[in-house]
Amino acid sequence: MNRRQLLKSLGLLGLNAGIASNTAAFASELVKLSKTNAPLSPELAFSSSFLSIPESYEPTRVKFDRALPSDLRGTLFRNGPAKMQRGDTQYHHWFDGDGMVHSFDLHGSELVHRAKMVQTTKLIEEKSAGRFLRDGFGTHLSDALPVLKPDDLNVANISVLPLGEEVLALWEAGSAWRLDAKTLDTLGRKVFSPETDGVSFSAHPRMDPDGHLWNFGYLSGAGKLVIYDMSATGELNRTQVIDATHTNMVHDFAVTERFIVFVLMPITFEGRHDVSFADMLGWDEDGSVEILLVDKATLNVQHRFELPPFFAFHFGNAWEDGKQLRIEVATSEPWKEFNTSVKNAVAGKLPTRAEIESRDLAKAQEIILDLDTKTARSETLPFSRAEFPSFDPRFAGYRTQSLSMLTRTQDLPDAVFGFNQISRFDRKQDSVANWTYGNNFIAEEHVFVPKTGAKEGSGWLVGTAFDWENSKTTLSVFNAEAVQDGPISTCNLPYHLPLGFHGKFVKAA
Amino acid sequence: MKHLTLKAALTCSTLVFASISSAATLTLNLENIQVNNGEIRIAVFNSAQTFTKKASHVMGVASLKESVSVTFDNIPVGEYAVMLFQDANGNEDLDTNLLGIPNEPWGASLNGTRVFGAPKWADVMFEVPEDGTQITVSMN
Repeated sequence: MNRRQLLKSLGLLGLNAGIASNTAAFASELVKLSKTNAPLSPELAFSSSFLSIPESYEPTRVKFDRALPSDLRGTLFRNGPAKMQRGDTQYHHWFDGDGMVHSFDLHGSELVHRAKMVQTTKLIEEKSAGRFLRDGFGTHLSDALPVLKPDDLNVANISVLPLGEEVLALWEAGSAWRLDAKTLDTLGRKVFSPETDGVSFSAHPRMDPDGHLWNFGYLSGAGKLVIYDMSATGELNRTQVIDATHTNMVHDFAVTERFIVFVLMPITFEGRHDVSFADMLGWDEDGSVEILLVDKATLNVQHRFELPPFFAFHFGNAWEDGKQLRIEVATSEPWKEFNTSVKNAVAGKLPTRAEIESRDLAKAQEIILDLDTKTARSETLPFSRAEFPSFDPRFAGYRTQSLSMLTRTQDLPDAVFGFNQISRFDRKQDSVANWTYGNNFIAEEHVFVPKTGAKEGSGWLVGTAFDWENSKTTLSVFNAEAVQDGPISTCNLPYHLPLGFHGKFVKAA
Repeated sequence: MKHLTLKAALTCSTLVFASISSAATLTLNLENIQVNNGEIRIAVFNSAQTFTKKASHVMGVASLKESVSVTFDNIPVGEYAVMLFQDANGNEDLDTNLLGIPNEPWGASLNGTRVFGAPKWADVMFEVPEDGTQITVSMN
C-alpha cells in the first residue's frame, strides 16, 4: 500500500470511507511507507498533515541550527484543528477539527515543544462515545445531536490568548477555554461574567499600546455584536451590545487610537438542522460591506461606511491619519470558493480550474475612510495570493511601516493548498521582500516578535512550516527586516504537526 | 425569533384557569432534569397567537428526580404548546446572556428546537384530543 492508498483507506479521498481508529498502527505504517515510497502527490500534501496525530505531544527538546538572538526568549503558543476523525466518523472541513494547543519554549539554541488537545465538553463527550456526536463547522453528520447554541460546536481551535499563568484557547463563535500555560492542561470554560456566560469570545483580541485588551462576540442571526473592554490581564471592564447588520460570521476586527473597527461582510444565515453550519451561511450578492467605527470611550457607533462587497477573514493594522482612517485587509477569495477549496484540500482532491483562478483574488488592500466626507475607498497593497497578516503589535492602532503575510509563489504546484513564502511590505521603501520555502513546504502563520526597545518593525518573524514530502514540521526565525536573507535560525522537529491557524508569542520576563 | 422571546414565554406569569369541565387531561413526562437544581417552571400555550405571550396554564414542579410527570386536568380539546425552564438560581426568571442564549436548562414540547433561537409554534405544537394525551419533554 502506498501513501495514496493509505490516505484513501483513511477516508481522506473517499469521503464515505470508514476510518480505522487505530491511528498508532497507521502512524507506524506511514513512517514505513514514507521511507520506501515515491513522493506524495501534491494534492495530498495538505490533508497528510492530519495523519497520525497523537492525543498529545510530550515535551520534546530540539536544537536550532544556530543560536537564537539573546533577546528572543519566550514561548510561541499556537492553536489549530487536530482531530479530524474519530471512530467511524470524519470531518471534511479544515475548520471542523478539535483544537490542539502547542507551546514552543525558545531559549538559547533550543526549543521545547509540547501540545495537548483542548478538553472541551464536546471532546470529552465524543472521546467517551468513540465517535463524533456533533457537527463540525463544515460537516453535517446525519445523526448529530441538534445544534442549539454556538458552544455545541465549540472546538476551541483557532487561536490563543496568553494571560499570565493561563492561556486561553479561542474559537470564533463560542466560549474561550482556559489552559495552564505551562502544562497546557485544560482548566475549564472561561466565564468573564454572568451576562457574558456563553457569549462568544472571538479569536482575534487586540491589545492597545496602553494595555487595553479589546474583543467582540456575536451570534449568527441575532444582528448584534458584543464588545469586550478588558485590562491587559483579562479582567472585564465593560461590555456593550451594539446592533449591526451582517453579523452572521465575523472573524476579525481592528482598533485605532480612538475607535474599534468592524468590517462586516454580507454573509447571510438560515438556521437549519439538516446541513452543516457552513452551509447555513450564504453570500448576499447584492449586499455591501458595512464598516462601523465604535467610539472606544462610549462604546457607541460613531461612523458608518459602505464599500462594494468583498470577503476577508483577517485584518492587519489600522490607524488614524488626520481625518482619515486606514485599515489593512487580507482580502480572501470569495466565501463559497474558499469553502469548496478547503473541503477539496481536506479530501485530497485536485482543485478545479475555477478554484485555482479564485486564489488570485486573495490579495491585500488598504481601506481608507474619510471621516469628514464620510466616504470609503480602497487601494491595493502589493501582495497577491496572500493571507495571515502580521505586524508589530506594540503599534496596534498606530501607523506601522511594515506588514508581513504568507504568500504563494507562481511555481508552487496548483494542487498544493496553502502558502510557501514569507513576504514583507515596507511602506517607506515601497517594496516587498520575499523568502520562499521549498515547494515541498506549506508555511503556517509567522508571528512578529518585537526586539526590546527597538524601532517599529524591528524584530523577528517566528513560524512553522510543514514539509509534506518528509512529514516533518520546521520552526524558523527570520530577521523581520531582512526576510529575503532567509531564516537566521531553524529547528527541525523530529515529527510533523497538523496544519493550524494562529499563535501568539510571549517573551520571557 | 431569538431566545429573548423564549425568555418572555417561559417567565410568563399570566394564569388562565380552564373552565370547561368536560375537557381532557394533558400529561407531561419531563426528562433529563438536573436533580435538586431549582424549580421547573412550565407554561402551556393554547394558540399560535398567544404563544410565548400569554400562557393558558402554568405550573411549578420541584426537581427531586431526573424524571417527573405532571398532569393538567380539564384541558379543552385543541392545539397546544409547552415551554419550560429550570430556575436553578430561584430568581423566577430564565437567565440568559447578553445575546439571549439561555444559561439555565429549558425544554419545549416535541423537543422542538431551532439553531441558535427559540422554537416557533410549528416546531412545538401538538393536539390534545378528547381522551387526553401524554408528551415527553427532555430538558436541553
